[in-house]
Amino acid sequence: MSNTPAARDRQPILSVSGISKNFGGIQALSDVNLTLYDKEVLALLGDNGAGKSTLVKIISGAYARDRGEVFVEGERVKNGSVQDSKRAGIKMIYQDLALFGVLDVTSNLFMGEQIARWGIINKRAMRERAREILGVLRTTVKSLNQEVRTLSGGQQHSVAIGRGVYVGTRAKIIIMDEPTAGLGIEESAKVLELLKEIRHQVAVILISHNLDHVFEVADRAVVLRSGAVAGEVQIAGATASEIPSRKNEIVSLMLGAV
Amino acid sequence: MDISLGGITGANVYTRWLGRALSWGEKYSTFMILVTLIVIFSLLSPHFMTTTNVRNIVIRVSIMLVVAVGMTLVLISGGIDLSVGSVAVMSSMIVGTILKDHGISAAPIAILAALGAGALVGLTNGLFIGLFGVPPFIMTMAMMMIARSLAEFIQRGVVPDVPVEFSRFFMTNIAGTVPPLVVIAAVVALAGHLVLSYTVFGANARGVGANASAAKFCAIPVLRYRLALYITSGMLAGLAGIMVVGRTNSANPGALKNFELEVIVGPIIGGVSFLGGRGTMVGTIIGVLIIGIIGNALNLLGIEPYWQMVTQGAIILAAVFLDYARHRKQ
Amino acid sequence: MSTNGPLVKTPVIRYEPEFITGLKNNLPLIVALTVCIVAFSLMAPNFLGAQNFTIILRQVAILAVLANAAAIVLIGGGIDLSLGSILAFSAMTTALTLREFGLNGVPLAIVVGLASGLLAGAVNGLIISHWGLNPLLVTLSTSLGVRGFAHVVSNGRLVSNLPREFTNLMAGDQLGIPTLAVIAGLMGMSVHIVLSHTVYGKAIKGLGSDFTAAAYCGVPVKRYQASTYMVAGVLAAVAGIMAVGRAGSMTPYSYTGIELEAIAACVIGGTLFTGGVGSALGVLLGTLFIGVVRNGLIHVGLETSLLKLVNGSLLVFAVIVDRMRRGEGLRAWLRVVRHTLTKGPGQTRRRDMPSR
Repeated sequence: MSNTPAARDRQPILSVSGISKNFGGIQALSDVNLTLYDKEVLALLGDNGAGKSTLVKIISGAYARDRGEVFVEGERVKNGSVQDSKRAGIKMIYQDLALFGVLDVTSNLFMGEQIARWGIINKRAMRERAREILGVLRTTVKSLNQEVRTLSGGQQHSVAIGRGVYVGTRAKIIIMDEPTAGLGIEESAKVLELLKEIRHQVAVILISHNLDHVFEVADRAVVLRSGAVAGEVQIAGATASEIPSRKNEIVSLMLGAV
Repeated sequence: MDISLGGITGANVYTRWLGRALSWGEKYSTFMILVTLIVIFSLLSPHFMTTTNVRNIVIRVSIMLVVAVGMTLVLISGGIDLSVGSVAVMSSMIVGTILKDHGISAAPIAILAALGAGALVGLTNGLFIGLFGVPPFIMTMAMMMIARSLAEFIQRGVVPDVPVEFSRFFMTNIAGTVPPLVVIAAVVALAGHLVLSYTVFGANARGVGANASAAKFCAIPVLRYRLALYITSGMLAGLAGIMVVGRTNSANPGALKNFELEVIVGPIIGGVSFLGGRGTMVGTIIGVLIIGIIGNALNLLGIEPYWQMVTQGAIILAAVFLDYARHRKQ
Repeated sequence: MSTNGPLVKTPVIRYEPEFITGLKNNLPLIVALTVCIVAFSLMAPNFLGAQNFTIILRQVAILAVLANAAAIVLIGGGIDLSLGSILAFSAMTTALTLREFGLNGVPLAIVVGLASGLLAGAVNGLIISHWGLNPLLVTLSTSLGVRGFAHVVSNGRLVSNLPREFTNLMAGDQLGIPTLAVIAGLMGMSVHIVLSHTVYGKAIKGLGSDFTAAAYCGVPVKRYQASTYMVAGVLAAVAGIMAVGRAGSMTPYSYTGIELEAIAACVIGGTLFTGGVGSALGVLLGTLFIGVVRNGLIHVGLETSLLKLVNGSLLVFAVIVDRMRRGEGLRAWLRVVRHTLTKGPGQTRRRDMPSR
């Protein structure tokens, strides 16, 4: 829906151009360009070592790029700083979720971005907001005091996504790195559900190895191979009969088969 | 075959009630232990609940508590500070020597110097741990050796002639009941509690302890936090050293051996986990009270110092086991 | 079918004898040691020479044995802070037996001493391996408990009146080399053989690097973990017996803090407490280094109270050097430091490896 030709003419929410990164002799990325539009789910695909993780870590500021620029809504984002990327509205949810296992849900949601005045925390406001966020994500937990490590995978994902999307600086772009990796069927479904919920608010870059999941939530896919963009495949709007051929296209772009 | 479940249902109700009672007890377990110990020791010795003895306990606990507050913050942030005992001794040597050589009028300078030395040690610890990546255990252990060495370097033997006014300031009861020493400890403990439980700093420090790399991803400046925490620990150890001189009116470079152990065991009994993230200041206060009371009672009961060492060892072991059992069941 | 030559051309993979690898790994330490010796010789006339050398050997012999004990535990992935107390306890029981039975009781005394060390080590080992408690805190607590027992068995008093033949033997020389050093050398050699040439040694190294992986490979990890503490206890007892012989008497207060020096010697010599890595050669060099530096500084006139400061600084220095070594040199490490300072919190793991 957000990829009609008319929508395409809009200003992209994220624009990445000419990104190159070299790790001590290994050229991880060479001259990568990428655009992302608002409220769009973009799947970033590629075989192991293709550079997907490196690219998103550069976008999120965890890695510093050697060359190239990142623009959010036309404004340049400073290189190599997680804080600056966050301020620009780019937030990343890591594969291991980066949660604080022994702490409770509220602490996890608001770590580093607590609701506070002059350094003093407003616990009641945080708890209420936590309940709100869990409500929006349609997640229930037994108690807000539970240690996060006792929650199920799906619940933990809700916390991680809740933190990324609904807490702190307003997120414009969410990057999710292999969100369904290692999850069972029910939990993967839950994560995809969460994704479909947040896409109404933000643009999403999704890294995944699971093509079925990708085809369930993504609008289009960009394939990386050996550090460069191999091609782009449209997903949204594909009819059931077109899907297999699109999947094949993606795979051949990934592997470089002629 | 129909098996009557009547009896089993009854048993279920009973075990559920027991389970709930046990978990209630567990939440307040540390407090229960404290109360139990007080009762036991009062029964074992008639001298236990006297005003003099209670005063002794409170004073002994005050000095430990001041350092334990700093240790709690460091432990919760995932670190450990083994240098506190030696820093306290070093600070007491600084205070004692300055007071002996320059009289009571130099007291403010002595105090500042001691606090500054503690802060300096903390800064060094924090730098090497946070910046150079030396494991906290090793770094603070090395600092323990260094600080103790410096303490002996300042003066080989006991510093005897500390002006009496100094300890009078710390020990004379305010309003006829409470020595300033205790008030200092209470203020420090209160401040520590407020910071840990109600401020952004406290919450973020907890995050650093729970998952340091995730904290970095949350844009928490981990290095700055570690520096602040170790400097605080060092300064509080310095404060404790000042208080020791205030209490005994002398400075002894051989004092406070194994002090760091007591100061670590207190918080651990009180629920602080040395893996980081978990613990409260209230728990620490109770834990330090327990340690102080046990130490006092052992003396009171006339238990030989040799057996006291064995007991101390056993207590620490029990504390470690308690921590393990407590946090394992998740 | 004729079978002339190999069916497949095997690639040429270089092989380096372990001894050479050991030397290469410890090269910085050997250099540092040599530099120190040269510097001290220049600064103090009495430093270089057979007489001082034997003094140094005598001074470090006990530490060397204890360092071997600490190394075994460290390589197995643990840490033992009670070694000094075990030394004191075993020394105490040995001394008491010696005083009781005189010269005829020497073999008995040795057995008693070794048994005491084994017992103490077993307590450590069993508690740590059975419940998986943190070795740091467990051995801290046993250090208190065992030392308490040392006080208890001796009633806190000095034990003397020991058979002179025994003390003379210990304090004397064998063919010009101090007996203490000979014993230390034998212990070091045994440890080296066990670590490098036995299945047990390899298993310990595996268990230290990755506990669960070793378990999956069929190593009886809990038993072996406990055994490292027991071996350390026995070695500490050997050190205790040496101490009794050397001093001719024993108090329960002696040798506090020596476990920290032992750990420092191990770390300087290349063992690290993440486990799995370490060599007897490194431990030997580390101990020698501490001994040389201490002796040299005394010759140069340093106050004895500052010796601990030197030890502490050496420990930190050794850790930093080791991290630098593992992080591929000074440049990578400086890069990490600079990055942490300028860019605030960032990843401090190695950035020069692509993650995927």
